[in-house]
Amino acid sequence: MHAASNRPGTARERVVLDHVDALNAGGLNDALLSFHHPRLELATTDEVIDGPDAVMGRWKALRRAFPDLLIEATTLRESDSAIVVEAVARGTHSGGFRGLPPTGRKVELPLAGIFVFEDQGLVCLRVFFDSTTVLRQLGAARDPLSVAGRVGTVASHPFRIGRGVVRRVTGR
Amino acid sequence: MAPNPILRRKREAIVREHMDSENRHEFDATLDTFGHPRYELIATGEVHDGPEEVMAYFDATRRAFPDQRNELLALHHAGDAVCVEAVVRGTHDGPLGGLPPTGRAFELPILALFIFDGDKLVCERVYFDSRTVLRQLGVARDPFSLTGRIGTIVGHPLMIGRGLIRRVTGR
Repeated sequence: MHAASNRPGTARERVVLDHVDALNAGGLNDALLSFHHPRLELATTDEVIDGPDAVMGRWKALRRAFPDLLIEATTLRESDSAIVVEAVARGTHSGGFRGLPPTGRKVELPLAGIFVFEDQGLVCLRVFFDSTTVLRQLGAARDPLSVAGRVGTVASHPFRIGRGVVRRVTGR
Repeated sequence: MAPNPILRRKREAIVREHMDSENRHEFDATLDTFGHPRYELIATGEVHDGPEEVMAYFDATRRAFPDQRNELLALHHAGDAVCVEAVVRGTHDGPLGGLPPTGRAFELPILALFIFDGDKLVCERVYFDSRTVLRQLGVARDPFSLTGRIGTIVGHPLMIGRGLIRRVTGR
């Protein structure tokens, strides 16, 4: 485990804040050392990224896509076995991102993370965020509940909507 | 700092009654679990504040998903909040923001922060992925899949064009 800094707060709070600082500075090796066991769980995409190589790979991809990525932790709440963090991530989409060429657009994403501890060791970071927010800010998603989005949905899913309308009309 | 055991028990009882009463569809009881009724939905930026707005929110979601229910997975007591990991499930059997019912079911992991002022629940702030729901309802394409990418290019030629130009010119 990485030696924590001398900043104020509990030992676990220091682990969390040092981790965020390391990510922001691009010190991915330091960020990895925050973990007793590196593991990310993304509730958004139902992905589990387990082990040092997988976690490092994901971070590198994220930094390639958003080289100026900056995470601001706004609230830390410590419980018996975890620290729940609310944060805002900001960055510019200036590298390829999962097959999407860079758009040059800025992203500002509210997110929450549950840093799970066993004793003082960080063993998992579970992350919640809204991917629609990211895609809308990148200009790569229409809101299907907005008018334009609804028109787009009808155009691209005639069968689905057709069935819905039939069900509504027939009351089934 | 986690709160003392007495306050913990009080808060946990409120949170469990809040979630159970939603499952029983007794929304007056759900409303009563709040000292001040307020929802903050981070995904959409929606805020529903006060009894009328919160009741209207209950009505709208249960019109869209009449069988909507939650399952509590984990509960974390912290200084001013009880943080709940849960799964919400439901079937899209009613209109959702103008979208006619699809009859499809969804399953959504959420993180709900039940914010307390002492022993009074003053806000439920919810983090979730709206796209997870829309994808399961069949009304969102994944822009990272092949068909999704083609759809993105067709729908946003200017945006992708600019991206490509930037990539080619290195700017």
